[in-house]
Amino acid sequence: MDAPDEIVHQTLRLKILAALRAAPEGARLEFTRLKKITGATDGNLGRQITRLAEAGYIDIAKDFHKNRPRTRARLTPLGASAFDNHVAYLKSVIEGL
Amino acid sequence: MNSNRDAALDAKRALKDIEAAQGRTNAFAFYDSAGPIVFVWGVIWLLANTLTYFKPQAADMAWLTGIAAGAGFSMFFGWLAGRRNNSGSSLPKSLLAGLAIAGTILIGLNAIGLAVGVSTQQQANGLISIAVATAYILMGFSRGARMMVLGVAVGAATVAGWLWMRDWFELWMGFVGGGALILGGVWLWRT
Repeated sequence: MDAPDEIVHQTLRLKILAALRAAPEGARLEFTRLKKITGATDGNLGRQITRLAEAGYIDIAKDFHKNRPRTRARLTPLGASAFDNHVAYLKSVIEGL
Repeated sequence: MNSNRDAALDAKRALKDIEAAQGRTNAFAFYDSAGPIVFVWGVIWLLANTLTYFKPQAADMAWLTGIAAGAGFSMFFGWLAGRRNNSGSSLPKSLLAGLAIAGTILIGLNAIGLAVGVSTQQQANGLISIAVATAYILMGFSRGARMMVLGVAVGAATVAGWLWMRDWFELWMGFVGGGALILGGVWLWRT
């Protein structure tokens, strides 16, 4: 891979995908948990999650839990592959120096 | 040349961000599983220590029952966490793992007790409390800083109780040590 994935490359989106990649396979992470992990604001996190979902890299589920709205995300196979390729690209950049 | 170096620096920074995000994800997942277990052990410490203080003749029974209940709850919560995380861990597998860990701890503690010459119930209580605190601190290095904070709190409570509250040691360990575990369990759980 000789070019970065422009969707994955953005710092917050990269952190979101990294967190979802570390979660057990198929497990969903809640919006509030992603917020704590990435340190992002609600607005920015919401925007980047939507962007990743539009690209098909994550799958979002919205429901009610204990009478409160809940948003959860999980990585799709396409997202997992894009993330892994991007990590390989980053390593190749470092090795190529 | 410079642009290559800048790209490499950016790549290193990105890999660090990834490592940090994944570390936090794993720590939070561990806190989810450990929270209820730590909470249950806090309740057991509170009850068994309080009973030991007021009814020393019932101490052995209180601790045996407490440890058996705690081990059972730990295995059950461990199995639940495994199911939640799709790790595929079966209940018999969790039971075996729990029994193996409990056996290793018991044998290890007995060996240490013999080596340092533990002869009273109070000394054994102090030794076990320090062993638990040490285990939490060591766990903190790999599983998340909150475990380390909890270990330091339990260790400090044990040392302070041993030095300044020897006459009320069991009561102190029940309310302060057990209380620290109960609050710590809730703290981990609510992450």
